[in-house]
Amino acid sequence: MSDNQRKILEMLAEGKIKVDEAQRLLSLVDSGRGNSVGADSSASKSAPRYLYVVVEPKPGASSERKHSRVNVRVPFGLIKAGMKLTALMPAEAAEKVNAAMREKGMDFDLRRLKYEDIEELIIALRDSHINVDTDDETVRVYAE
Amino acid sequence: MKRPPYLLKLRFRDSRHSFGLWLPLFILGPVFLVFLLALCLIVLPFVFLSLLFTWRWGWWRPVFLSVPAFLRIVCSLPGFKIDVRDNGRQFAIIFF
Repeated sequence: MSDNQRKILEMLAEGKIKVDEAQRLLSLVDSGRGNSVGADSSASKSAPRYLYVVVEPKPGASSERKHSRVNVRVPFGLIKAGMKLTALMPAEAAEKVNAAMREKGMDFDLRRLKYEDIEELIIALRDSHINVDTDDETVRVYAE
Repeated sequence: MKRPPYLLKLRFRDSRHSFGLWLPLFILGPVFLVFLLALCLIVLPFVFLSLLFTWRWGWWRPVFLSVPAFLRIVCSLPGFKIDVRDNGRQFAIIFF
């Protein structure tokens, strides 16, 4: 029995509230707990487990592309574990990687990438679907 | 709780050949670990000696930290799948 439920029953016993009011308060307390549990479970459910990259040919594709298919499924745990490896990268190697990325127009420091940022990115990816339609094939990137 | 993969499926196929393999990693893994342990025991005195002389250079830290990182990667492999097909050729690798 939670503290709130106990307080409600004590108030009922002391005559401060009526039975109907106590019943309503108890149902509110129960639904409040149910909502928080639901929110927790939905938050935990919202983190996708796999990243999918699917390339499929279209019905009218050229003969070269007709039989080309790619199906890649990457667990996000693997991506997170790989991102943690950047912490082990020697400083000289990290500088070279950052310099190469800067040359390509990405001013991004690999070593400042935090695990919490990756978690938020992964949760946000659940609602992201990338679909690329070409004449011969469709490319889908999504997370589930 | 994450676990290492217990099965690996490999498949190669082209117009003339077809090759499929199911590797029981739950058997091969422990065998490999025993072999690795034996190798470590042989190499251990030399490792200690090199630790003694190179500790202050500081590059042992990434070596030690890479072991749990490698284990994390291995335990994240279940579910990893690559399946590429192109004009009758196929390459697939799936971890269960």
